[in-house]
Amino acid sequence: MARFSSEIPADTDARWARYVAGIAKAQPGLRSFLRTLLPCPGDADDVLQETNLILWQKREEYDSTRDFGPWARRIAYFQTLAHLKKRSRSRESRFSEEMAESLAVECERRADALEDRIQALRTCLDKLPGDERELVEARYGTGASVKVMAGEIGRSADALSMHLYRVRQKLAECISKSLRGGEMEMKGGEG
Amino acid sequence: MSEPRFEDLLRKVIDGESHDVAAIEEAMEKDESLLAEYLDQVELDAMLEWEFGSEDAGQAELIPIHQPKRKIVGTFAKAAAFILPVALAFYLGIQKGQHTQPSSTPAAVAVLIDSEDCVWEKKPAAQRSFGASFAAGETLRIRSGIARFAMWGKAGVAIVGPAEIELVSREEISVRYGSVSAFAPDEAIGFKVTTPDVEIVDLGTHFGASVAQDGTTDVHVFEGEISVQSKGSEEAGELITTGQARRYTSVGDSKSVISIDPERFAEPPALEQLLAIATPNAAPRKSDSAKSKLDAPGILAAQRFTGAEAELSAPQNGSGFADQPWWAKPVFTSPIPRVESHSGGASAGGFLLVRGRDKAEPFVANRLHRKLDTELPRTFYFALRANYRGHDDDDFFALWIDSNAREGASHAEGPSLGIREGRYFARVDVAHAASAGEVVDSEEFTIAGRYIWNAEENRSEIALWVNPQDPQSQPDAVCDGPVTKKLPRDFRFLGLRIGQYTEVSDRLSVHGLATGTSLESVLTAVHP
Repeated sequence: MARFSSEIPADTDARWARYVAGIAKAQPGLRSFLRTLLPCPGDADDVLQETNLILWQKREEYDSTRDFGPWARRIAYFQTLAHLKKRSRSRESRFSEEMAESLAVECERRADALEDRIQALRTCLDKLPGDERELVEARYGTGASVKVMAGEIGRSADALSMHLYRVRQKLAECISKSLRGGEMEMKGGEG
Repeated sequence: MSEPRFEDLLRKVIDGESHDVAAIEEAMEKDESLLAEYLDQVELDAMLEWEFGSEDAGQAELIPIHQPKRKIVGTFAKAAAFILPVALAFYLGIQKGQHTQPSSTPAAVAVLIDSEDCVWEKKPAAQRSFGASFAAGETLRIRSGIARFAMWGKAGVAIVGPAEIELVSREEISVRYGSVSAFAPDEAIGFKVTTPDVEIVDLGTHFGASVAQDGTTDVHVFEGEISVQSKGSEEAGELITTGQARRYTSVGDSKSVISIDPERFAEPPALEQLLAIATPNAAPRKSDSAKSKLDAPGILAAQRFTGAEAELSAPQNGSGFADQPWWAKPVFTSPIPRVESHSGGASAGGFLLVRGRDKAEPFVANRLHRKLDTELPRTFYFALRANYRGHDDDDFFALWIDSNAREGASHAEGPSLGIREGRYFARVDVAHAASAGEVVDSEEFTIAGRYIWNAEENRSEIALWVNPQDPQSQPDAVCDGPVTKKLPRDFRFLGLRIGQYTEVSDRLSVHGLATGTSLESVLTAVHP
């Protein structure tokens, strides 16, 4: 079937498709990583755009035998540092480079389990009481700000903000509990 | 005044009510235990935004797959959902950064996902291979063969050369001449195919359009509904539905009813093809548990296919095979890795894809085989879990057991298991077959057989089970026949062949195959 050979998905040609897919797949993790280093809404998204562009420009440098995640986060980290150095924003609105570095190290430590945490989050969301689940959906599903939401439901923005903070706390606890549970289960099965 | 609490500082920054990040830093420096709280809160905020899809408006429109309750229509729609992340990356990273956009990366509207004997005009073939992206406004000139594309607007398109087609946008292609078939799931309603004389709007369907050099356009609707409007006409578009076909002639501006003819068009892209391109690094799933299960009692040789790239090439894969990898025809057999959508609901892939026969091949089209570690006993069981897409009644395939693995051999004189004439079969040889059940296109099935070679009576018997629920169940059909000199002298090889009337677009997805000493053992081996 020699005449088929030129049509076989050659590695080199499929490479960019896989690379682009890699970028896409890395988005939730990258965004979470950048939010940690740049907690002000909007900052992380700006740097994410820049990071995606750099990832594409540097595609030739990517070693496909390595994991995509750490490679992408490294680029995102350097983009963050560049962003922190910009003087257009006030000193108060950003972390110091030292803090950004320790946060990046923490994130790297947690990165492997991100997929599992997202899975666990879905289960934990289902376990929330109905009104809290609705609260989360209203806040994150519509993208409405806490202030706007508070106005609509007739609560003070402060109280609503605090409530959302508690719900996130609850979810975080539930996630770490379910991951610990999962580990124990696995060990039991192996033993 | 007392210092503000950490949680108040943090929630206000998260909510966008404050920008005092420095105060958060200061607090975390004083008390390191706050770091974990910070990470939990910010990460959850990001994960929830992602999960519920409320990122900036510009991104949100590109990530419908993150909305968990989205209605997904049909397998093609699922494929479109998987392929979306690729589009997402293009748009996030490239189109949105247009002011700094490198000239080498224009916005893609389509990606080439498959071709058969495709000869392109002008451009070297290397640039026209699997995964190549095409920008809006690009013209495709195909001298002969078939090329399949996934449109970022979610439709799938197959072009048969000679053809000249312009990619207008993600939702529109313009055919100057040549034949095009398109598949548009509900999400792609409104996908447009224009020809020199007519404009076809897809209303959720599979249809074909062919344009002759003189501009005559034939439109065939295989499923669903389209609207066709003559250019420059004031009249409303004509609705054409399943099974109907029309011819529009530019000379005299006339139209006529013609008979539908699917043979003139190529199959639009298959789900597996769309999946394959959307999968980075083809990450194999951990298969330790699968492996241990394959060493269960009674299993003689087995392999479950998970779509990992090394599945065919690594000699240690599977269980009970000699120390050599699978022999497989590369163009016609490919591992398709498993992919899951971000919302966790839909998933696909994780099998070995075996294609139908290409007309240029010999009639006997063997696809893969492997030598067994030890030859099978005179009584053995074998099983296969798979599904067949594109099935029609003259399709045939068999999982065969034989003493040799010659490429041109039909393996018809020994035991085999498969589908034939629309039914499942197990046979002792070509002349003595038991059959049962009816093959349903694209539906997963498990078939198992028990072969008994009774040397004293000089007979052999085969029993067939179709989708057995219980390892104790009685066979669905049994057949026996005399042992002739043609019977293989031993059973050392196992393989898979595809029949001569299968189409190259047919797809047998193999999940697992096994031989063993009991029905239970082979069923255990092929099921996850």
